[in-house]
Amino acid sequence: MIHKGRTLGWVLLVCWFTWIQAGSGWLGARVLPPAWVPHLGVLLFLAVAARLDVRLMARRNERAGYAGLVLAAAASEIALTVQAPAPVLAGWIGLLGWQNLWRRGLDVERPLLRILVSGTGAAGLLVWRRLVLDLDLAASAASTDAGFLHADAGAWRGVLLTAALAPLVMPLALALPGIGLYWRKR
Amino acid sequence: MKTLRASFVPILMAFLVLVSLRPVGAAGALLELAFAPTRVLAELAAPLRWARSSTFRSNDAALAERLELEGDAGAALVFDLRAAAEPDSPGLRLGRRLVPAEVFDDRQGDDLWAVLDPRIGLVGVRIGQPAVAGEAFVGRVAELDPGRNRVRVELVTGRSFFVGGVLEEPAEGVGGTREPLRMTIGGLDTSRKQTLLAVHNPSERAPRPGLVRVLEPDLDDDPASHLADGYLLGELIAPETGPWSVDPVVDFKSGLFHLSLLLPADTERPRDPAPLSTLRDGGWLATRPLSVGDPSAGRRGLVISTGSLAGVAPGAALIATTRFVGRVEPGRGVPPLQARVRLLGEPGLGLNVMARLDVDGSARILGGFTGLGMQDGAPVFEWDSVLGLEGLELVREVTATLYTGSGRTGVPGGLYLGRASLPVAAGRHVVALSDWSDGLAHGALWVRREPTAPGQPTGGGPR
Repeated sequence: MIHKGRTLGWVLLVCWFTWIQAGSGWLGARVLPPAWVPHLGVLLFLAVAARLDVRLMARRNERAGYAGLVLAAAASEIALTVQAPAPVLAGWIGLLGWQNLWRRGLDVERPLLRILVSGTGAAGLLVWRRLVLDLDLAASAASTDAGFLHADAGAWRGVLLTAALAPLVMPLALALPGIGLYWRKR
Repeated sequence: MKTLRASFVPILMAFLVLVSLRPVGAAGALLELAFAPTRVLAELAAPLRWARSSTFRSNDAALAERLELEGDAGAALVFDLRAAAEPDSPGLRLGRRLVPAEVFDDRQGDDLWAVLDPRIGLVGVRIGQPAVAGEAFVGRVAELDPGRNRVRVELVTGRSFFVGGVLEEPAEGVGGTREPLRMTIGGLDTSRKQTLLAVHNPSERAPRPGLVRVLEPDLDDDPASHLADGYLLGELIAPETGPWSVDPVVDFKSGLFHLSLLLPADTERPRDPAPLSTLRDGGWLATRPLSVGDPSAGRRGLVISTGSLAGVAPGAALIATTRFVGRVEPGRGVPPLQARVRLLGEPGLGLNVMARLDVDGSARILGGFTGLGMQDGAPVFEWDSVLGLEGLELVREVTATLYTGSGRTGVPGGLYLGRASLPVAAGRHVVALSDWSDGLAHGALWVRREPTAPGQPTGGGPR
């Protein structure tokens, strides 16, 4: 029974990730200028990763752990984006590694650190994806020397908004129904 | 175990970074296959689509009302450009049979594939027969593929291509004592930045200006060898010092949409019928959007509910009733159950474009457009105008209706793109679309089933 509950927890986590990613896409397509859309998926991901109790899961012989979290975040984005799976997957792994670096000596759930980690993490993701896109553009022989920038030229605004929303959204994300089965309580 | 896990993550990360920065076909396809089940997740976004269903319906209905108008306008443009691929001069038609062929692939190098009408096929077509665009000579048939009704044309820009040429003397030179200036043309002049054809072995080194036309030497009895005589190669550029070259009259890079193959006049081949409208040719699959917007900043992508299992191939066009809205990611494999589409406004989206100008109603080949993203709510493209809009030098810009051109795998010619103001001069320009359709605002979508032969019935269609 407990095992079924944990499975349901992962399923719900994937659902929440998907809805948040779909919502981000919808916001960028219809509600906000694309550059202003906060990366809500990053906030859910970092919130859960900060609480993921890997030692507890190891004791229970649960194998999902960080890999499950990365796969959940990547799969939900891959389902809805035009990006290839490889850069998406690499981006989420890199983001997890980034937070875990901070987690070694600091409590990343403090508001200021949440702002810092989520802001730099979202910026890193943005830079990474821009790099991949630019290489793709170079391969298709497009030049950007006409004085025009790509549509994500102002996406730093979305990064700032992601960081600003972190202290508010991350605790809410942890309270989403059904996804608290693996996270250690503070 | 811990050591194994500790070393696995960096190796996996290095692999993913490598595949991201230097895409490897097989690895990318494997990852796409591994994530194919995410098709189920995409269905979870359905409530957001339902919320927009009334918008979708009204937008689809608005386009359905313009189905005949825009579809026929696109077909008429294709028809005009096909006609323009035949020379006007009676002298260049005499003793020849002109067979229309449409360029249809993403060209790499100096060859292109052109498809003939599948209702007639390759009857009468032989290797070595010339290919022309209007009065311009462009190359020769190098390979036949009867199964797909297509021919490979080796272009005159090819390194190993040679064709005889002669300088067209000015009128006062006719009848004089001067010997005709003959030369061999083939390959590119690599000493120049612009695309110029290389000149080899001119019969004399006294430079003089003029146009160079094909004049094949009498080397054999092949009746096809003189079919191209008289067709234009370009203007001779003959500096006092340095190599000579020919400035071609066509844009070899992205300006070849329709060709005419020259066959001997007595070739037994049925008359080629009028081309089918792209929207009527049955090569479309009905599909629907799975996503409502791309979650990645700056990307304008759409995931659709039809994948490679249904016959969707990389590069296939996506239309909303009549209008082109995007293209299935051309550079990598299509997942079996869904497809990722680059919409108008996606940076890097590559299209060949043709236009109907408002000022004189003429059909023009514009060439390659590359997406730069969105600006002020409109898709913006970079247009490398190699030749400019000839005959309109008195104005700086003209307005036009843009349509897709041939020459990109899976994207047939004649699909409505939008309206734009086009600079007349040659050079690199930035062009913004207006009156375009956003693929994220439509529910009734159609994807090109198979990027093989335009006009080949393979499925359904919006008409």
